[in-house]
Amino acid sequence: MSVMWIAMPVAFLLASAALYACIRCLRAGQFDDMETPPLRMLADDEPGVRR
Amino acid sequence: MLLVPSDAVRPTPRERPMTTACAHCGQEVPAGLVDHSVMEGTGTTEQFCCHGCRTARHLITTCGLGNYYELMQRLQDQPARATIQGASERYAEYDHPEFLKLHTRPLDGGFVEVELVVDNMHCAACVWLLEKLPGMTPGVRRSTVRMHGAQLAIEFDPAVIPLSRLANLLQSVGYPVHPARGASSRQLRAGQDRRQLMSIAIAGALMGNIMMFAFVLYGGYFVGIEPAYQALFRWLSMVLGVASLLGPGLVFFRSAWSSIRMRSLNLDVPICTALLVGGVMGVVNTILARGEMYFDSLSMLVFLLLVGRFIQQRQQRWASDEVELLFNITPAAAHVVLPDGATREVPASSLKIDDVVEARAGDSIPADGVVIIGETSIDTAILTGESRPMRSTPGDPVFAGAVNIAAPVRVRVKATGRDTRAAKLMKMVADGVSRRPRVLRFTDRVASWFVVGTSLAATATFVAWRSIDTSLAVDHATSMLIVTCPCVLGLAAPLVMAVAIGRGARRGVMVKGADVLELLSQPGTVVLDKTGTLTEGRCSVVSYEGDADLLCAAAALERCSSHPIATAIVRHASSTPERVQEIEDLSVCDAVQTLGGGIVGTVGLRRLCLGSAAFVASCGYQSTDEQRALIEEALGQGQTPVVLAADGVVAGVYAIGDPARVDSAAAVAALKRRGWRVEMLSGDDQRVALAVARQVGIDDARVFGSHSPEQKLARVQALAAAGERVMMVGDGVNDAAALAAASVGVAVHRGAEASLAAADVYLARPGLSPVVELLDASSRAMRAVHVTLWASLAYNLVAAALTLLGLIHPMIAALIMPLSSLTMLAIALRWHTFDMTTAAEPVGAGRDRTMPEAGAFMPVQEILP
Repeated sequence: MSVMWIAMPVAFLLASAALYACIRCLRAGQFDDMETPPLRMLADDEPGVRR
Repeated sequence: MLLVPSDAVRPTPRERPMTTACAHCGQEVPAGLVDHSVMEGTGTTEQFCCHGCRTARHLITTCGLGNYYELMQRLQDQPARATIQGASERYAEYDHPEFLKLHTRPLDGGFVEVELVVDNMHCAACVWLLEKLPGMTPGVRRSTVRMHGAQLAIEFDPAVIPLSRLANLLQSVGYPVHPARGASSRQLRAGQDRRQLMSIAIAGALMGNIMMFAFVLYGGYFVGIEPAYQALFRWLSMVLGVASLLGPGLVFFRSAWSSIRMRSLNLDVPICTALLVGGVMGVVNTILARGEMYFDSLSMLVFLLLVGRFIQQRQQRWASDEVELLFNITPAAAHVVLPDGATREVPASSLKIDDVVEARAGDSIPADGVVIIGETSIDTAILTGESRPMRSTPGDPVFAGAVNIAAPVRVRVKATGRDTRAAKLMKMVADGVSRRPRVLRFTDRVASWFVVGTSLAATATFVAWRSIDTSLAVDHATSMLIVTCPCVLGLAAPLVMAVAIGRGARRGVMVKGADVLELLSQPGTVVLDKTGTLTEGRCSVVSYEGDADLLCAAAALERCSSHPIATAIVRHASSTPERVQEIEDLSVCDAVQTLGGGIVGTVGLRRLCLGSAAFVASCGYQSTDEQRALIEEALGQGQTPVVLAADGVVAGVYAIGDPARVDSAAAVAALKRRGWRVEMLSGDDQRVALAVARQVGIDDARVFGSHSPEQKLARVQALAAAGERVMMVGDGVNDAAALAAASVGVAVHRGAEASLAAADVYLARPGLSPVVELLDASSRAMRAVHVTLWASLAYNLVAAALTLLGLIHPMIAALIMPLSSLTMLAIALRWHTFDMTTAAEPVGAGRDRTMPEAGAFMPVQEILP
């Protein structure tokens, strides 16, 4: 059970990272519009676009 | 497979047979997309407005579901949508600095952002087109669509491309645009929404983690756990629990504190008591390493309450929207006549007293004034509710917002901007809305009793157990507070209302707030407007007695006039496509219209004369006795008789009126059955009002005709002052002030935007039957609230009794609370409020031009069943 002393901090780090990512997305306004992005997904990319 | 021939299913265009209609949706195919090569071949002659429609049509016909088009034909009773105007000068006013100041937001580098509401947007292809097409124009930097509210935000440089060109471009591909209202408040709301979502995210994360620690601790309770690890997890729970209470949970403490300061007790007070006591006891117990902790229940409570609040607030979005009331009624541009006789287009706000403006046929009058040159008919329905146009000659006053129907006139301006009658009406509306008293919600009233009850119970427990064992006493008192926490009230009651409102929105009844449902559950007085609410709202031929062969000829002659009576006669004769064709084929010459009288002309080989009885007599035609009797009868009913004479002989008599809707009589009877007193208030003549009242079943004594908007407001205020619960149903600008003053204001389908702002409910379906549905749903919703309340009260009493006797272990108490909440939630969600089984498609819901924010209701429908 002494693994708990390693597992707990790791779990905390993971949870904090997830929460931080969530808050960052919220702040950037990604959750403002939940209806249009699913429709935008159906559009094709322009041909010949290289990233 | 059932194959339906293509020309049998194409929806018949009514008023404009020459334009090409899309074979699937029936809307106009833009000229640039008509595929001429297809028409020449032997293949199908179907045209489509977009690829989406082409695919949909192919899919529907190959699956053998071609009956879809037949059914759609039958349900399609809307007149041709007036959205496709065609005149490119319509958007010229978008370039005025006034307009840009009001509707655009400056960005960096000389760019501005404009938000437009777009019609006809309904699929992913539309989104793609609207985001790509403006971007291909030089000067446009970005174009983003928001389906919620059908909005398009474009970032562009006004120096490179004027806004009117962009608007025309969008309209030419089939997407007419209108300016969006309330851009600034939307920014504020976006910030608030994000903060709320952040709170919920944090509360959820904390709750999940505390639950996991609780899992460990419960397991340890049953199988045993080493003290070191138990202490570890208890301390971790405490840290996260306190974080949950002081972070996302702070909003409840603040709300409870402000309510205590105002000497009233709202629902947050008992919840806060539970949170506070549970939190403090949990901390104390952890530090002293004894007893129970409650952080898992408390953090779950915080999370669920925040989610409930979020759903509630999303619905009340409509209430806080600012609406540019005045800007809608009066036109933005006016044609001012210069001293040398030339006309120039200027913004309407720059008009001064004694300026002379020219109002063309079809235009709205830009300011209050007096006619100096010209004779015409003016439609003042938007201001006074009069269904018949008024004749205006030099010397007569006209008002801003009225529509000039027949001929151009020159008007000398007497009042502009805030001094016009329309502006004063709007000010009354705005005042009425802001002064509306906040109804003390049912749940708030119950809350005060709860606080008293739970405090007494907790004190009693403490005192009872102190004599036995002090530490146990503290434990039991805490359990008591947690077990009797009225979280059900905070969750279930709002949720019942939220679900009812969401279902109502899908049935075309858009409700602004839950207090509407509460207010409508008990009967009171319902005040109905006549024109547009009880009646169709437009002139129609009620009856015709005479030679039926002349109907098409009469219609052909009346096509030369834009008077509402003429349109009614044309519509009456255009009952089938063959007759429409016949009317068009007839040749008309020498048509001469006399204002206030009628029209004469030669149709085919016959000389026709149509008009009022006096006009026809003055042309030298004599009517028989029975025709005179028909005319008298029509006048007695409050209708307008129109006499048709051909080739020297009076051939027929039309009775023109505004007929009552087919469902009005049944709806009024239903209202009376439910205990409501029904009154009618109308701007129209008393005789016309009485005729309609008799048709629908309203007592003569309760009919008030010839009421100006100010008088309507006075009547509603008098009823409200007498202590009556008043529901006002209306549609025009002339009803807006009265709607704001009523306890519940209901704006009817196709109402003016001003009445939408003042109303609490908007009906997206025509007629009065949605009102009856709303009343039924309100009483059912309130019953659901009562049932959940009594059920939870019963549970609380039983649990409190058991806790008092010490039979409930605090841990069990902590478990029971979420269980009871979940049961009540399940009841709330499944309770039958609006009847979803009968068909009721809201007409143009979410896309209606007069209600740009109707899309605000869409998220609620997605979240809740």
